[in-house]
Amino acid sequence: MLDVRNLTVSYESTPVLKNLSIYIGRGEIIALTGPSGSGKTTLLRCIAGLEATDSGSIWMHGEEITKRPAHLRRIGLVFQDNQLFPHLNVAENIAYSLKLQRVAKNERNHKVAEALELVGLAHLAKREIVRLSGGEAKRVAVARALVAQPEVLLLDEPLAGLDGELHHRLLDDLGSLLRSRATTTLHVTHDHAEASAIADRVLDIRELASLGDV
Amino acid sequence: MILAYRRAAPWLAVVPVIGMMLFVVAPALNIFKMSLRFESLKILTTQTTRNVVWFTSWQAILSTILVLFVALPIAAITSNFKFVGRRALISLVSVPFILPAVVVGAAFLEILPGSLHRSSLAIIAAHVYFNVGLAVRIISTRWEQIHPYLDDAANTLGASTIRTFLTVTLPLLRTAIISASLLVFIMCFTSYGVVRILGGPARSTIETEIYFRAMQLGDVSGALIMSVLQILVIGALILLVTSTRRSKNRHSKNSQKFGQSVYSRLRNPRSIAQKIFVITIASVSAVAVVAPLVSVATRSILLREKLDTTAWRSVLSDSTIFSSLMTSLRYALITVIISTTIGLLGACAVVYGGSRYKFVSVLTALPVVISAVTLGLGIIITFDVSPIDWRGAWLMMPLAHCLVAIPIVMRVISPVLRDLPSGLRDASRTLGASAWQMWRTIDLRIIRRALVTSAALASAVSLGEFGASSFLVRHNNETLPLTIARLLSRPGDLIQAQAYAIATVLIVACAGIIAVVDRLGTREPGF
Amino acid sequence: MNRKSIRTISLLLVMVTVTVAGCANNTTTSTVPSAQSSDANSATSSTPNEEVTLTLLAYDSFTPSKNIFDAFTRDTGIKVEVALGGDAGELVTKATLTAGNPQGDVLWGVDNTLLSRALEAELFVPYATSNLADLDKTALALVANNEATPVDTGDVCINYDVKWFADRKIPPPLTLRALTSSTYANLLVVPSPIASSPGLAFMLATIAEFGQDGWEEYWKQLRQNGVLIVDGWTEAYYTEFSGSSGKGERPIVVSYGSSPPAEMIYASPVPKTVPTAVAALTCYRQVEFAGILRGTKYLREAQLLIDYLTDVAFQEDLPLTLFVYPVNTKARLPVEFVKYSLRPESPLQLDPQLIASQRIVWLDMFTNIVLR
Repeated sequence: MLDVRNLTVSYESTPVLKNLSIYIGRGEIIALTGPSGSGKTTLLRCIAGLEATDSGSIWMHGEEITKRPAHLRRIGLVFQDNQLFPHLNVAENIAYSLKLQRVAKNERNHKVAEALELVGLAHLAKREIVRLSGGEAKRVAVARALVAQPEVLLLDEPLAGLDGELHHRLLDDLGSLLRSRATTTLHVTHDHAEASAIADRVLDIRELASLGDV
Repeated sequence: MILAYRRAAPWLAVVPVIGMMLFVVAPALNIFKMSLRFESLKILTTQTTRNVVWFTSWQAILSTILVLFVALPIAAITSNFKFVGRRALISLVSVPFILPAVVVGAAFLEILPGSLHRSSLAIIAAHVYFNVGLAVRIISTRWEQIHPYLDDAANTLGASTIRTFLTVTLPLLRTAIISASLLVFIMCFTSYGVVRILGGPARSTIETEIYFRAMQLGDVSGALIMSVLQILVIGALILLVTSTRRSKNRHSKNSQKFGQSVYSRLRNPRSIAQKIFVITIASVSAVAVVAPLVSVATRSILLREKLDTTAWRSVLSDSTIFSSLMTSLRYALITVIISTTIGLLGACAVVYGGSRYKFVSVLTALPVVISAVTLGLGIIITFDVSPIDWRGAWLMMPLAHCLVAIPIVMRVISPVLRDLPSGLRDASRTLGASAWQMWRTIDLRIIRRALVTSAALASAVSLGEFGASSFLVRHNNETLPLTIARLLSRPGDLIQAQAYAIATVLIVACAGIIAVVDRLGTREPGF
Repeated sequence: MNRKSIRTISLLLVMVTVTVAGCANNTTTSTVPSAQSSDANSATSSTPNEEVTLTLLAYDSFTPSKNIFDAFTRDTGIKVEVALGGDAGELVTKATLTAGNPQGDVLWGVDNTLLSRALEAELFVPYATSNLADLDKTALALVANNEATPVDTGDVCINYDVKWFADRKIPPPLTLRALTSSTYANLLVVPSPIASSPGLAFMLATIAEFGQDGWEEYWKQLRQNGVLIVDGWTEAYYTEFSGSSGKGERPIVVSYGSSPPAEMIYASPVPKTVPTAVAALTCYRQVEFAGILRGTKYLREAQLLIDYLTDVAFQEDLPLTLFVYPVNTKARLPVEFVKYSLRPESPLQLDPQLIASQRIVWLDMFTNIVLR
């Protein structure tokens, strides 16, 4: 399904990822752990098409997408800090990708309502982004990414900064949501407990670099 | 920056760069070239020049000092106390700044006794009135960011309110005060409309001297030398302003980037002394702002001390006044369209193109350095050879308005565009937006308010522009400020009342513009 | 993507262009219908059948009788639109700045103090009017090659408020020298020579009277004696002067030799005696010219207009509307005009060449002595 082969990325000639390879099968949920600064976010941004690569390739469904622009990849990304659009309300944020796809208004409203229902925020449709709590904002971010029906969903530390009860509840909800929809997912976290709670497989980024590297 | 945006930068820069090169750089170079060609550099050493430069300088210095004296107490109450009408007061003191200079001149003609007309005092008073709002805005923006606990700390260490102000607040406000004073100084130094109206034949700033020389004496070479002198002085001052601003920015980098600071300084005035202070300053400044404006409106409906609407009726029926009204509106529309378009393109080029496109922001800021009067003069002496013999083209006047407005548009749009978190663009891309869709749904949407604000300010610039217009006006395209100036210089109660009626129209328009700008600025947190 | 953004930009530009162009059309149609039609017809302008509108540029106080150009239009089919453009100095400057690409076809109101500037800038196309033989010879002498055509003459003189001096039993000032006497301290108001043509004429009068060595000292004394300098003639005469309709306080003013008849003819009720009078020895002769602006599309029509402006009918209208003397010797003067106005025998005058070379220097000196 998603196949990353020998990816190397560097920032201003400092290598961030070296010869990294990873394979994710259809419907699989993979958690990727590693200390901060180990390039987890960079990997997600490369897969999403937001970052240029030095060498290596990215394949999806057997097609190479290394040079494909981000908006044509159908890969969803839930940012660590959500990046909800401050000029749009909750429902408008979720409807964003549907509008780009020119989905008819009725259908769009229907899908947004469905997504809101799914993440349990039906009552907040008209709320402004700045008035959301941390947990609510994260749910909106997930809903926004899912509505675009991505082939692969990338989650960047989705539960960072949420503590205790909220963390648990969101983790449960997220797990059952992804599983029920059979969404192919790459979940990045530094929390091993979180990783093993949600994922089919847990990988450490430090083990993904193939041996005999540069 | 997103690759597609970076690739678009050169295309975005094309029109602003060509426009500025053609209408600002070329005329300015031409002025330099021609002023050197004329062997009249000796004008720099004449008594006249010394007098003009001396008057221009000392009135600007004195005006600036007075502005600070008036602005500090107002900034003190608006950035320290909660009170009813606080926002309204900030808006109100800003109104004079966007009023046409000729209107401010007219207002002071009306409120000052006849013995003070044509005096330096009248000019300085008008300059203070004009610029207090600017200083209040700059100073209070910084003051509001000062953590209130700092004052508390000083208090607990035994400092009185006044000592706290002198030892803690004032040093922290220093950079804001410096950049405010330099800006105000430049405004007063290059003052034109106010001096034309209030100065009479005896008082001349460099800016009005350029006009007198070129348009009334027919001494174009003398005017050119004056222009060069002016460009050099303002250029040096602007460099000074930008360098202090840069150090100020470094200073406040660690303050929060978005939204207001978490701790608000605003408290309810508690002690009697505080209450008296707030009430006095607020009411005195409100009255001081409004009184001249009311007197303008009053003058327009009084003839020989009796209520009389003849002036207003004649304004509506007089074909020349009506046609200047239409000309003003048409030029304002053109200015809004062209200057926001060019400003938007320029701001995008600067922000998307990265450091290599910094020259675009320098280019678009040039009209500030060069001053409106010089722009007008430069355009006339540059576009006088076929195939670009445009001296007579009516479009030159709204174009000059655009040039004056573009730096303002850039200053309003650029920061918003620059501060737009790039993560939003990433998010939009992962949701399937092409570069163009992303620009439309993220960038454009988020700068929409800034665009409306800049359009409002551009229309104010055009409605009030007097300096360049006085060079470029032809017999059939007088705008309202020019009409006011013409009518004011003629005798007769009715004619004067007509001038004040037009001034009233412009006051109402400017108050409306400030209301639009401030509403947009305060609504909705974040953007 | 890139191409798309380019396309959008070009779209925006097209929008702007269209809007501006739309506005351009509006301007020409709404404010100057004549200008547009003349532009449109320019290619084939010279055929007499087509309707031509000439634009006559003039100073703000150009106020001939209302329908004065009707006869011209009836005879020639040419319409005349009068466009006012500030005081005489500004008018000439604007014309100079647009020399060769003029805002109008004919310009009215260059006087002999400004003439040198206009000729230097080659503002006009020379034309010898059909009325040449009837025109004042001294006036014609100023334009040897018919670069411009004299249209009227007048005198700039000290005027005083007769009643003011009679009430106080003070003799009125009769010479320029008298004005520096303490008797007349704080009584004189003068329009600035920088912006106004009578102001300039008065300054030239003092130079003619006291010479290039003496005039500066004279103005220093005038300043000590409390002379008031104001922007323009209208302000001096109507606002600061006590003898006219204004509520001014100063009884001595620089105005025209023909100002007294204006006070009589246009006052209601007509006063029993003339309220103002002229000091004959202080007068400076002004000659005003009209010229065909170089670059006009209607040369032939403009020539016809110059002929009309110097024709008896138009010339006879001038005394009572512009308060100047006709330059056409065949024109008759209205009785009341002759009765009240003063025509000095030997007015003060300066060599036009000298004015041309020294004007700016003198004005700078004036500014330093009197204004600063």
